[in-house]
Amino acid sequence: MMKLVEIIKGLATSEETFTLTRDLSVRMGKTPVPA
Amino acid sequence: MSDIKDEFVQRGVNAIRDSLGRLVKKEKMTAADQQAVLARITGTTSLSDMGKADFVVEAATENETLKLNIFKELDGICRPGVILSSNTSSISITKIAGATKRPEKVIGMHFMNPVP
Repeated sequence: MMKLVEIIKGLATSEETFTLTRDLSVRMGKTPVPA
Repeated sequence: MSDIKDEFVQRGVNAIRDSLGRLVKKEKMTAADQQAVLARITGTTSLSDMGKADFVVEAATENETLKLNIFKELDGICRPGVILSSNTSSISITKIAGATKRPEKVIGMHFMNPVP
């Protein structure tokens, strides 16, 4: 099973989008790695 | 779960079933939980069904034109506020976001294994 999720923001990606995606990754049992 | 052909959708569902089946075998998951997970997955070959999704993870072939087209379509299909993420490892998120009218809701979500 894939353990890590690299989370990559674009120039326009909001902080809210980043936080929600990071929290969702954790709920999936993954370790988020900000890029 | 959406793909371009039924057989690909089925392959995806089978991969999830097998992967969870290994956890059941190792007694890390019950067979009932495996069934519950599978029951939450709806397969489709029509991208328009993604209109029901609260969060989207795109994992198409690593082809920029293809991904830009998919995001443009998803932007028209999905409700405002829904995050559109991409499993890309090499294509610019800023570029992908530019294919939509919701660039603040576009993000990269690259699932991977730790380097040993």
